[in-house]
Amino acid sequence: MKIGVPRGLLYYYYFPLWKTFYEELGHEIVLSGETNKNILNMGIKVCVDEACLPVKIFHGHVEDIKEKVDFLFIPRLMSVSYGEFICPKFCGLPEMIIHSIPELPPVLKPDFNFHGKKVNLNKTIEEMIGPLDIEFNAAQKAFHRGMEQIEIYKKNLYNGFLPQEALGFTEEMEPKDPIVKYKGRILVLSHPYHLYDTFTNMNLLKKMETMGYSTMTADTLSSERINYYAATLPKRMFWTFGREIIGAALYTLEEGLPIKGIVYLTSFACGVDSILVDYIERQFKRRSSIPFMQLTIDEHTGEAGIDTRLEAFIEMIERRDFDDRNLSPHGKCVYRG
Amino acid sequence: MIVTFPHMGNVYIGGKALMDDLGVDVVVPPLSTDYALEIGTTQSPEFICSPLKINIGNYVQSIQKGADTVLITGSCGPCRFGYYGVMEKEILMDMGYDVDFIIFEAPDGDIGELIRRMQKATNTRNIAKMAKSIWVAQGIIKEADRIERRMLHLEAVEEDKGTIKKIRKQFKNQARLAKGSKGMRELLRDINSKLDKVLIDNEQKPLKIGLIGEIYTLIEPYINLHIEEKLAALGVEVDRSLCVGEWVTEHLVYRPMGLTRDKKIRKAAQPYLDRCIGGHAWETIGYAAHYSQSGYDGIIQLLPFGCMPEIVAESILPTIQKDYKVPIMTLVLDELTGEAGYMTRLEAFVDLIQRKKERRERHEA
Repeated sequence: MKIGVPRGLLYYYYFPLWKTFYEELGHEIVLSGETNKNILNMGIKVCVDEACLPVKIFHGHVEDIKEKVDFLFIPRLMSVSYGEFICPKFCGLPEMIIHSIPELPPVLKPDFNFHGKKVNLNKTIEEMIGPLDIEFNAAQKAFHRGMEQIEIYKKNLYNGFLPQEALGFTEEMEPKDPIVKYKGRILVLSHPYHLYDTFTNMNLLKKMETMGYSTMTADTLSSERINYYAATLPKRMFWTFGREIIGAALYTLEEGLPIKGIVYLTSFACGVDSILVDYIERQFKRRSSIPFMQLTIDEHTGEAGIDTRLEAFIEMIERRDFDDRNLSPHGKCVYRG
Repeated sequence: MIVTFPHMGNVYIGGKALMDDLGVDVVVPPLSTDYALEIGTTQSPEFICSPLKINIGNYVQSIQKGADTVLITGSCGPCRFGYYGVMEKEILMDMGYDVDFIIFEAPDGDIGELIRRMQKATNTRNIAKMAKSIWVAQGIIKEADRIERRMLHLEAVEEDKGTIKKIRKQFKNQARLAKGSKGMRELLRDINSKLDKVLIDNEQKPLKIGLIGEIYTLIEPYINLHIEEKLAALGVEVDRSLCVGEWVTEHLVYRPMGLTRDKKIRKAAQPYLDRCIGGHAWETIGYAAHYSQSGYDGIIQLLPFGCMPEIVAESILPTIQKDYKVPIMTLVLDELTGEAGYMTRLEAFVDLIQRKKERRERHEA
């Protein structure tokens, strides 16, 4: 059977699991194409106006493959770790798709719900099998193999590889040599579907690299430290990506990791980010002088505008080292104290 | 300690009565206005949902009148409301207001902590006394809800147009001044007897519209630009799916215990969305199906701009519309909503369902 996986949203988080699972069981995975203008336009056409950019793009990916496959795989990610949720749009994603796009092939919509104390993994596996002709025992084995692959994938991300490379690896690779040839590091915070989709973010990571700066993301930081600092929040952060992003930000802030600036990439009207960006920005403003920039993208964003802002940001960072004039790059005049 | 709390429909009526009874000083913020929203908009994150922006406005106005402690309820996601308390404290802190926040929620299901917080807010360690006052207060909120519903139904069929409008205004003005649960009860009785005397035009068969959507935009007349009054003026009988009294008991009592009261609605939602995804998406879908089944002529969904759960609901509503053939309109609200455009859309929608109804009746005749 051909199982279609749309290349959007949590593809960058979970794909090794899905791929290993279905391929081990003798099915073929069909991926939608890389995000492009056409996919975006198809998504905008079928999706409700108020939805955010990544959700619209996901709709476009579904449109892109719906005719080429026997089954569509749209997981419902209620919660990916204990006591936490994901944005409500993920919880209702299969419904959004089914009620917006006509003539769909049958949809496999397994629940991933690890919210409660009792996690019923077997139910998830059963739903992943769905009407496919697969034995449960074999599926269970394939699932655990998939989870191993996820571990390897995450380690490779931690070692500085981008998903485009890391998705091809089946074992842990040597860490990339990060700092030597760069002028400095910039912390880039975002949800994985913005961070790693080169069309959506207009190749942000690459652009920074060309300007001479290496990038640090939440994936390249120790998850143990991230969790530690996320736990210092006045109230438990109940979104998984929220915890990772805020934890990473606080980690760099508290331990004074050597970064030149922070770029927060967000999509227009992102509900989770409206809280995260604000919280992080307030903390950094209060307690440090590290520059912070928020880049907001949506389907109307022009690349030139993004480039200009990025260049201005980098230039400001560079000017800090030797020049402090009337319009101070430090936000206040450092010479007069 | 002088406490305040944000406006949310009729909460202030019960809240004030409760605090008065317990002898806690309380400042009820002025009813939400453009000014309150403006304060909130300049200080809050750009893309946060508008309830938070209005809350900030409410607090600031109260703080200027002397309040130093804010009471709000909480939840644990995935809707953004769960993080309101933390965000609001941060925002007020950056504005230079150092106030205490008491958040009514059971963190990680810890009911003991919730009771401790309530003891702090109500200034009494006597749980029986506290429970009794809370019971009385929620009774008052429910009665206020009932009166509001009654007014909605009467407004469309009143003989003397504008009577209900007058009563409503009087109700709102006096509710802010009434002292304690005794005074509030008297006021409610008074309003009820006034409503009894309203003359009804029995000839009229008004159109019926069900309001669904996110609870704050539903029950806060300022943010929804007084949609109920506007529809009533167009001769429409309105039913609102959610009321604050039910919300308070549901979220403070039933949900922490893993229970719920609206099984019927959840069942109606079943074929379209079979689980809670946060906020009120489930209820929105459930009530949409429920209204469609009970012969309503049209349904209007209200949501604040960017509301995550309601966007999911919005994308499911077209299927319900197709299944039941009842028109559904979605109105998104934020600080940029213009009244003229809003009114035009309401008029056009009412026009549409009116014609649809006439056609149906002709067809049947």
